[in-house]
Amino acid sequence: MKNTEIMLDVIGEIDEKLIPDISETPKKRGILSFYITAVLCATAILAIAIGIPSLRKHENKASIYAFLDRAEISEIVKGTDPMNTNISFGDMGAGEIMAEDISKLDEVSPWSEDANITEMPVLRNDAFVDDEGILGGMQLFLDEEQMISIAQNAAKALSLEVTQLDVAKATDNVEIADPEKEKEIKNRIYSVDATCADNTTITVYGDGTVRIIFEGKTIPSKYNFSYNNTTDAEAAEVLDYLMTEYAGLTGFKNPKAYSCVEKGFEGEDDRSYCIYDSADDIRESILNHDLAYATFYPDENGNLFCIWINNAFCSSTYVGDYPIITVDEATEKLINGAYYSSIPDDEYFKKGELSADDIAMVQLKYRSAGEKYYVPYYEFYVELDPEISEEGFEIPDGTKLYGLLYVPAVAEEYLDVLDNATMVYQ
Amino acid sequence: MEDNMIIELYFSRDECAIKETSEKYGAFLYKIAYNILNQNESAEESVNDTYLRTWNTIPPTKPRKFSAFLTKITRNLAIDRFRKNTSEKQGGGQVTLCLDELHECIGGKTDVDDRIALKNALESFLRGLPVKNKDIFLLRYFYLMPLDEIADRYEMSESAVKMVLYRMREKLRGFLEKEGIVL
Repeated sequence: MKNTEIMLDVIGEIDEKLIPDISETPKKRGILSFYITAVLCATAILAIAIGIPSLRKHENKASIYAFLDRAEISEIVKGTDPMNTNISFGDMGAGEIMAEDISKLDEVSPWSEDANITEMPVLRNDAFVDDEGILGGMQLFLDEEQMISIAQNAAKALSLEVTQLDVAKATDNVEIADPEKEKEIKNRIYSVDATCADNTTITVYGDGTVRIIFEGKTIPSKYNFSYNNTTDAEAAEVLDYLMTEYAGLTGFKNPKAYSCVEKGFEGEDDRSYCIYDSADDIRESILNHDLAYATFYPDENGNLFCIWINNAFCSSTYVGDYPIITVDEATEKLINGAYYSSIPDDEYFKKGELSADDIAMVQLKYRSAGEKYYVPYYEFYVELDPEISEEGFEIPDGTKLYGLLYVPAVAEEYLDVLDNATMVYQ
Repeated sequence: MEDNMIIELYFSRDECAIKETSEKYGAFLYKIAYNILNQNESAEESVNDTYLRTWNTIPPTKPRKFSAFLTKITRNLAIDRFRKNTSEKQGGGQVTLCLDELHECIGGKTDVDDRIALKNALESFLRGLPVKNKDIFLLRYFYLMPLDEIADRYEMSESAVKMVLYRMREKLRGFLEKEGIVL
């Protein structure tokens, strides 16, 4: 049999998960929009270079991801495939946060219990390649050409000129003992570094995440931009400035911002500055808030040191809408011990056991820690026993200690639970 | 009827399973077969053979993605039928065209003798592609969908689809060469 005939046969034998479902005619309009990675064709590059708004349904022309085809979802589908929602906390230590008060940790999510949302989208993270847990969570998806384009677009948005490009392959960053795994990823790109004329470095990672490091980019002196010496009002002013100044970089049409304040080990403030794109559809807003946002970091002089831009959409696939449980149902699971957390044991809870009275806050949240699926969880902030401490460490005065506990929001029948068919993983 | 309910009918050996499958997927499977065979009667026979094969396979098989399960059967049966046909006039212009196109990525001098290695390599290649590119590739070479249909589905020009496919075939050839499958 000729090779081409063999190839035709072998294509017919591939994993069904790879086969696109065309059993229903795609509709032309949908409720939500997602980035779908597109062909980087010569037409698209030319369009960007000379400013022709040629790409169809293209909204964020100014965004660094502009060349990606922002297509409407053709159809909202009901999710059916079960998924693994295990959370690996790695070596990040206990999932505890200190703060003056729970209000300081409020990320001002578009979600609220009153929204009465009954279904939420699930996305498959196509950049997840580390099933065996041997790649340190490396995210690999975009190709070199696409990553270079993102870097160049970012430089252009910052009015910078790229003077050097460095490409790092996956195998440059990790030693892989498994020859099969090495073969699988050896030609994949881990990161692209673009160095600019003023020494700004733009790094694009395999899932489309971007990190920009400046050599102390000054911001107007009237803004008090710091981790530990900025009031809530001052933070709002800084964010207002950043939203406008970097609109071309983020491409957010309707930016919203929030700033949280954790407490460090010595009681000092540790403030964060985040911006995301709000949308008319609450579910899209939630997704943007959790999966497509920008964070800004000051240096010790109040200058802009770093920007991180996350965009899970450019390396993920819409799986379907899944029914979600209510907050009450999630709370019941929580109290019954069916949650994910890295809190070592029950001693950390007040009175030695988890109580609903100690729940300080709950929000519906997609984790963006590079897991296999982007699925919604109920993220519970539980106030912990302030007396518990690691040896040699005491919680600073005026500080409360909160633990983060996660309950999958997707209805249980869609969860790929492990052997014991329970969800108690700590 | 939901797919999981149809599958339950197969498990219960309820012949309504075939009726439900036909109602939900019949037209779609016919289209796949017709793309390959270009003849009504042969396409219908392929679809009917699909129902029989499905009845004989479920149980014990329990497909996780029923549409993909059916699609594979119909597609492969139709290609088998195409090959058995001695007349070039009967049968898919699409099959001949696709074989010609695939020659660019696997038409080497050395015969491929390890189909499993080829399948694994192909799956690995496909997983590494952006989703849209992967889908366009499979719409063409799995579904043997005509270029104008693919173009219409993605609101692209036909020439843009051709370019996408050309680039994918080039990449696949390079990939298979590096894997040592094609020389």
